[in-house]
Amino acid sequence: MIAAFSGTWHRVRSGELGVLPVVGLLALVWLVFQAINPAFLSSDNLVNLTQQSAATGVIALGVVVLLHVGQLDLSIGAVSGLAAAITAVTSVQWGWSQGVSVLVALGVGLAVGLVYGMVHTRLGVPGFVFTLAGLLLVTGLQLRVLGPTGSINLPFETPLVYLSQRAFLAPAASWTLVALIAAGYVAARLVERSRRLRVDLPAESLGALAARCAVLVALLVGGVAYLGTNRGVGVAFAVFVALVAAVDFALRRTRWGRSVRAVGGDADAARKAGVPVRRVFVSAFVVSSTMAALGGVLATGRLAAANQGTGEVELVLTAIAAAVIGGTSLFGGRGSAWSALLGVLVVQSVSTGVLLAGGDYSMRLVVTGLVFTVAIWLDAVARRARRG
Amino acid sequence: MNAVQQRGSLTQVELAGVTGLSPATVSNIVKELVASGVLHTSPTSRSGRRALQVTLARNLGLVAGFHFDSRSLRVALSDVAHRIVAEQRMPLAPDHRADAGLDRAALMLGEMVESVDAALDEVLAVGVGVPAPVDVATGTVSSLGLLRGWDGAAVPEILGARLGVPVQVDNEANLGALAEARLGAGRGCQHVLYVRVSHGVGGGLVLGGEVFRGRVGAAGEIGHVSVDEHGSVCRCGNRGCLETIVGAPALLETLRSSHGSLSLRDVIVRAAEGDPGCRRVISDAGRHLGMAVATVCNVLDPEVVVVGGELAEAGELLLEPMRAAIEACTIPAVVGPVRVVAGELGASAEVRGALAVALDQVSIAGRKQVAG
Amino acid sequence: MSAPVLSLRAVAKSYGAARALDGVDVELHRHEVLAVIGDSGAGKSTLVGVMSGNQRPDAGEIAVDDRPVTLASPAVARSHGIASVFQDLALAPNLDVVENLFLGAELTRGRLLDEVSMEKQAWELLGQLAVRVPSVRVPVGALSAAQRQGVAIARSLLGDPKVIVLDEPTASLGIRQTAEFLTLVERLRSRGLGVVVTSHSLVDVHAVADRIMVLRLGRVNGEFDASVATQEELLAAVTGVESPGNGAVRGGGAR
Ligand SMILES: Nc1ncnc2c1ncn2[C@@H]1O[C@H](COP(=O)(O)OP(=O)(O)OP(=O)(O)O)[C@@H](O)[C@H]1O
Ligand SMILES: [Mg+2]
Ligand SMILES: [Zn+2]
Repeated sequence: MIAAFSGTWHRVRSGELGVLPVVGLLALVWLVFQAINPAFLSSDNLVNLTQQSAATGVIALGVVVLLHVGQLDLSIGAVSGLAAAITAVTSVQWGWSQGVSVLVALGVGLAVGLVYGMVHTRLGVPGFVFTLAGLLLVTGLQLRVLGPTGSINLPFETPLVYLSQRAFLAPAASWTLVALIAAGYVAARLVERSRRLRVDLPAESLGALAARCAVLVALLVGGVAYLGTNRGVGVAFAVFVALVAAVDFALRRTRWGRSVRAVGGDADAARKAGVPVRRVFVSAFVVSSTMAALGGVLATGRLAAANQGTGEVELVLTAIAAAVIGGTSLFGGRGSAWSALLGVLVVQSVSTGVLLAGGDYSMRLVVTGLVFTVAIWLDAVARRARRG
Repeated sequence: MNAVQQRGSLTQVELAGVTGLSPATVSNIVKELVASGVLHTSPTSRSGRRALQVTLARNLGLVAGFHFDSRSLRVALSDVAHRIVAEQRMPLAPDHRADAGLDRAALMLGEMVESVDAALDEVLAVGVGVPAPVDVATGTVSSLGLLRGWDGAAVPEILGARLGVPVQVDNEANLGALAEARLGAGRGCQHVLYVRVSHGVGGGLVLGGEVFRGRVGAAGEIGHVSVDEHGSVCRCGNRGCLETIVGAPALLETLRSSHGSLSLRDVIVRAAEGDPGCRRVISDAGRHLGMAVATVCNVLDPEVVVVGGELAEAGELLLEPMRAAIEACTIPAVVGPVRVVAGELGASAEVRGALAVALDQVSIAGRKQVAG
Repeated sequence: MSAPVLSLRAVAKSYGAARALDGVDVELHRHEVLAVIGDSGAGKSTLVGVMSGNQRPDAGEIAVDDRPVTLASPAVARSHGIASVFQDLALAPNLDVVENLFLGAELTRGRLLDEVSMEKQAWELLGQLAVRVPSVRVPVGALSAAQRQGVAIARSLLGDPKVIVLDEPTASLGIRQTAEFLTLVERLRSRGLGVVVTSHSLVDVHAVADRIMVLRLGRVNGEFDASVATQEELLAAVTGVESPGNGAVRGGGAR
């Protein structure tokens, strides 16, 4: 019994279990808040929760990618605020079509990332240092773009606001998606298994494969069905989850993803092995900034406004906390795109849970801070376990 | 089986990896071999994961064999049933010394014993082969100048002090002869001449089933038979020894101007690939060897001539001209000329011989114990 | 004799005022093991760094198969057929064995990584080199020093290089692994590769080298035919005691 426990503990510490600890944490948080306030796990609250998670989650996803190369960008909040401001100003005041506005905002995010990447690879300064300068610069730009009023409201009926607030997948659409995802996943697993068997490599037993697929299907079906008793799966949330899946795939199955993890593990070793380290750094900064911009755009849509408060410092910290709580290491090279989803769910759950339990803003910060601390501690312990 | 023997011990998962078989197949094979007493499994935990450690089953008690060649050291570990449980080769510098070499050998033995999950005190006896004549009674190298750095070395004392077990030392070719006569190509023969052609040229005699060593252990040193009294000076100080003509340095020197600097292995590989120069050098060596061996055959009339050492890997390329020369220079017999064959134990012959003398020690000690 | 596969002429490299290499000439042929020995700080790692494209020399020429080349990075050196095993091994500790083996040269199917083929080849390669790892899917950081060494050497062999450059390969190995390693070097040599090995340990490299080059304070302090050089001569050259013995092929550069 004790042996089994210490074995599990060892695996948690060395990070072998991947995202499982966060899933456990999320379950714990939900149980606690449900016990305090039975409205917490209501489908209505969960739909709200998912919808609120999208914007921060997308930003956290960018953080996950950048953390993979061992860098931090403290200006993601400012970049998201700038993107929000650009979207609002160009579409409302200048009368551009909203699609174009969004693309321009994303383009600006991308450009910021390019500049950061250049600065980092040419000067060799750690990201959290020069992005502080970037934070000031970009915040200045944001205020300038917003103009003297400091706040611009988006008309309620614009596509962006509609998509990020009130658009939900129709039941038929969500069930078709579930079916497609499940079928695709099972097929991919089976193909991989048969290829491995064909060349005599150890492969997962059919039982384990079935169990794995069953868990996935159960999660998908359960989630969609439960959310479906209320408004359903929000488009913004669906977009976020799709992005997470895409980034996960890119990190694990492409040469780019492999290079990103190698650079995060040991940049000098990666360079000696022939990895184009500079390009990898630049790409990671670009992904992070572009995601931040996209998060800002989604946030504008959700609030139907862009103001000076969009992308304040708290957003930065929440996004970074979400990534780390989700299990992505602050030390580079370890983590998973899914930690953005799980981490942001934990953080949002804590926020809404504290409010539902009658706590105030200060309480919310304290609890989030505590969870963050535990996550950092686990990360540091895991790192030591791997080294020693 | 082979995989386990090469590596001493490994887990089933590793076994699947190195053999390329699926884990299920490996697991089944291991189960069968455990049932038949060949393998032994024990649970272990590596890096926190539980696994099944697979080792060769062994009876209580181990013996070790060392074979120092002029350019390499080979160490083997076997149980008292003569089953080899681990074997390792290590290249050595050209002028290696007794103290440093024995030091490394002892260290190596320690690591190998550990790798089969045994303790050093399970090693009951050690046999050592060295490429120079040895006075078996004292275990000291009895020649001068043949093996720089080993002259007069008292191997049993040095090694015995390190390992605390009885040490039996002999000339490498004598051990090779013993091994081939007992376990290899000379099985069932009473009188075997073993010729070892490698960096140096050596020989060993098994007469009436026993190794014949002569006065100071120099019997069978065919490499220092003089074949050309105007020839170049040998490392033993004499002129025109057989070794100055067919030893590896001589062969490689012959090829240097045309082929550049090669190793003996290169020559064998290229000859097998059809390189005419390398083939010629090997067949000439065979002819010279044959003439010298013929002289020995005329004196001793052995039942079989077993050829070992690295050059023996050239096979018929070496043996064919040898046979021709022997036939031409020996008394014709009704039953035909003496059989000339390649050794069956290959590069392990000498270390197997070392294991054999170590085992002999153990069984002698065992018998004494029973008697007393 | 055929042209050298790798040659360096009058190579120099300084770190500020410190001259790490000064007028060093090296010729390496196929089928040859060249050992580079010298005291700590003699310039061995720098020389190896220049050969492997990890360091740019201040002066001098480098030629591969008699064609002048500029080894701007390890990747460029690799593309010229020079593979390296660095003193620090240059493995990413968070990546597993397969990922490290193929890092920078991943196999793909379409645009995606072909994990199955890579894993298969990894087992085959490690098997050929008798490198034992518990699994090819454990992070390299969890392996022993010797296992990591094996992985680094295996990686250098991928893609059929002509030359392998190894910096202090036996430093962290036990005697059995040293034995395995030396046997491996012999095998590389008989495969026709040119091998450069640096070491503190004279005994180890002497066992497999064809030629031994002694570096002292950044200069070539003698070059020896390994089959006739004695340890005393080599040690004298390493420490700078003046005694050019009969093994010396080329006299000392330092006067
Ligand atoms: N990056 C560097 N910056 C400054 N000086 C350096 C650097 N690398 C090497 N040196 C200096 O260059 C000289 C040669 O160093 P190098 O590492 O090549 O020696 P080495 O023979 O490999 O030594 P060791 O046996 O300790 O590995 C030394 O004096 C060293 O201090
Ligand atoms: Mg060095
Ligand atoms: Zn002689």
